[in-house]
Amino acid sequence: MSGKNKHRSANDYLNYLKGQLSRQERHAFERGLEADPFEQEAMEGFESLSAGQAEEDLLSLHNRLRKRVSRRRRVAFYSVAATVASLLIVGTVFLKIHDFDPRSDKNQVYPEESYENFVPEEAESLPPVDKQVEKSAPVPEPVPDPAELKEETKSEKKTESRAEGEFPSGAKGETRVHADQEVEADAVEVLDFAAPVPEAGEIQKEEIQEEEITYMEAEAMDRVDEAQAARTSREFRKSKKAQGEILADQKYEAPKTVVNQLELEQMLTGKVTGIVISAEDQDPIPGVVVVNRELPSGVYTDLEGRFGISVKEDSHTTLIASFIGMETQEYLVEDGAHVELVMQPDAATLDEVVVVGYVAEREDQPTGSAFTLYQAEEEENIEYEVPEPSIGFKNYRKYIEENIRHPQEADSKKEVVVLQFTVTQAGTIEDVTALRSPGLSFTEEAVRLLMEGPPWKPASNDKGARDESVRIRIVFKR
Amino acid sequence: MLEISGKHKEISDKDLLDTYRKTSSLEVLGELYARYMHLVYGVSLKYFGDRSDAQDAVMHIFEKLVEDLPRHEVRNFKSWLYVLTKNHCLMEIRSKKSSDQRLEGLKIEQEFMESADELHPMDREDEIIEKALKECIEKLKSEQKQCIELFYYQKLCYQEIAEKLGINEKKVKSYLQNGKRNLKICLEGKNVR
Repeated sequence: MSGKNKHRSANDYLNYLKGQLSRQERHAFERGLEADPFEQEAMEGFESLSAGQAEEDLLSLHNRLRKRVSRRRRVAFYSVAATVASLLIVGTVFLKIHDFDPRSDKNQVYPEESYENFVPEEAESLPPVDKQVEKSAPVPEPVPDPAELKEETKSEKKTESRAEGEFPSGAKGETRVHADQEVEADAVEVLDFAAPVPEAGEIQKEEIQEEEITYMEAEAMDRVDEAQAARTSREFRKSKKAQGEILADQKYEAPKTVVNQLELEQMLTGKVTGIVISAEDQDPIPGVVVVNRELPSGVYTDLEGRFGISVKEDSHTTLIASFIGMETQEYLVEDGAHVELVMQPDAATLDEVVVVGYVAEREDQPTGSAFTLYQAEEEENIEYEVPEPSIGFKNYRKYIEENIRHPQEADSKKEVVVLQFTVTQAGTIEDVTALRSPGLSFTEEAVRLLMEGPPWKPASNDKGARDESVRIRIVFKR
Repeated sequence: MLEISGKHKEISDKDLLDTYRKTSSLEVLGELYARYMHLVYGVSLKYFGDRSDAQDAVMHIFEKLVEDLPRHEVRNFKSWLYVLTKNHCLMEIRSKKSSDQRLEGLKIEQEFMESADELHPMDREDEIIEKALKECIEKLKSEQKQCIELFYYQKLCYQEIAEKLGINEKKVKSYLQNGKRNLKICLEGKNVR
C-alpha cells in the first residue's frame, strides 16, 4: 500500500503546498488524494491559497477550536476561584461576628485588594478623548486609610448580606458570572495578601471571648493556609516546569532602544530552541509569538509548539511569548539552550468579548468591583439594586459580541476599553468617560456600542431610583 | 500535527468517538475534529471561496457536530464528516440564495448516508482486476491514458506529468478524474467492480 490509508495531517498538507516534499512523496500524497474524495475536494479548496495563507488559516482555526473546547473547563475554573473567594468571605464574616479586631480583618477584605488591583488600570487611563465626555473622571487617589476606617465602621450585618449577595438567585445569577470573572484575579491576590493573618491573629489576643475567637480564627486560618498551600504548590510546579526563568508577568513592552537592525543581526549568532506549552494541560501551543526583547522581530511556534530564535551568542536573552488567551510572559534564556516555556492562561481574556459592569466610585469611597458595591450602598443603610442593562448582563454581552466592530488599525490581538458613565434616575446614560482606551477609534466604538445599545435600568430600590455611576469593560479581541 | 494535543495520537477515531459518547467531553471531540479540520476547511474554502467565511463554517460545523453526533450512528467518522461538511456548505450557500453558477447541478446528498467507503478500482491495487483494467486503459482517450499510466504506473506526481505533457496541473487532474470515471464504466461493463 503506498501509504494512502495513512491519514494525511494538516502538516502533510502544508508541506505539500509549500513544495517541501520529494517527487516520490508528492506522488504518494497525490495517490492518497485520488483515493479519497474528501481530501481531493479539500485540496481543491486549498489551491486558491498560498501555502503561507493556508498555514495562517489553519493555525487560527486550531486556536479557535482550542478555545472553543476549553471554554467549559475555564468556567469550572472560575467557579473554583469563586468558591475560594466565598470561603474567604465567610471566614471574614466569622471573624467579624466574634468581634475580631478589625485591623486584622482588613487583610482579608476584598475592597482594598480589588481597589489596589484596580488602581494600576486607572493609572493608565488616557485623557478622555471623546467629544461626548463632559467631565473627566475623578481618578481616585490611593488613600487606603479612609477606606480602612470605613471598613471598621461597618456592621456585621453588612458583611453578612454582602456575602449573601455573592449568591443571588434567578435573574441575578447572570450578573454573578461576570462578577466571578472579574473577581478571579483578585482572589489569587487575596490569598497572598491573607497570608499574614496568622501572625496578626497571634498578636491580637482579645480579652473576652478569647476561646471562641481562637477557634474561629483557627478555622479561618486553616482555610487560608490551605489556599496558600495550594497556591504555593502551583507556583512551585510552574517554576519547576519553566526552564526558562519567568521574569515577570508583565505585559509586553516594546523594546525601548532601536538598534541598527543589521548590526544586531550580525550579533545574533547564537540560537535558542524550545517548545511552548500551556500550564493548564501541558500541551504544546502552536502560533505563539516568541520575540527577542532586544529585537523588534520574532518567530511563531509551529504546529507542535516548537520554535527556534536567534539570540546573542554566549549570553542571556529575554524572550517574550504572547498568545491569545494566555498571559504575555518574559523568560530569561541562555544561548544554546533548549527551553520549555510554560504559558499561563490569562483569566481576563476568557471570551471574545468580555463586558463586565460594576459601579464606579462614589465620592470618597473607592470602589473597584461588585463587592465594594454592596458596601457603598450599605453605608447609607439603603439597599439599591445595581444599575444594569435592561436585558441583563448575559444578553448585553451577547449584544456587544454581535455588534462590536474592530477598528481598522487594530493590529494587536487584545485591547481593553473601560468606560465610566452615569445611569440617571430616568435611565438615560450620561457623562461617558473613557478611563482606559488604546486609542480614539476604540473609544468611539465602545461609546457607540453603549449609546446605541439596549437601555440601562437605573439603580433602584422600593423607595425609587437614583443616579448611579457605572463602569464597563469592553474587550476587543481578534 | 494539528492534533489538539499530542496525547491521543495513537487512538483511533472510533475509540475517540466512543469516549466522547461516554463522557461528552468537548476536548475529546475537539481532538477528533482537529484531525480533519484542515479537510473541512479545504472543502469549505472550495464552496465559499472566501477565507473568513470558510473559517466560520469550520467552527459552525464543529457546533453541528456537537449537536448531531449523539443522534447518529457513525461508523466511519471521516466520511460522515465529509457528508456533513458538504451538506453544511451547500445549505449555507442555498440559504444565501446565491445565484452562483457553480452550484448548478450540486445536490445535497442523502442525509448522512455513509458514503465514500467504496474505493475506485484504480485506487484499490487489486490483483484480480489488474487484467481487465489494463484492457480498459487501452481504450481510453490518449490524454487520459497517458495521465493514468504516468500517475499510477510510473508513479510521477502531478507536477512532473504536467511538465512532461506540456499541460498544466489542473488539466492533469481532470484527465485523471475523467479517465478514472471512464475506467469505472468500462469495468462495470465487464462485470468487474
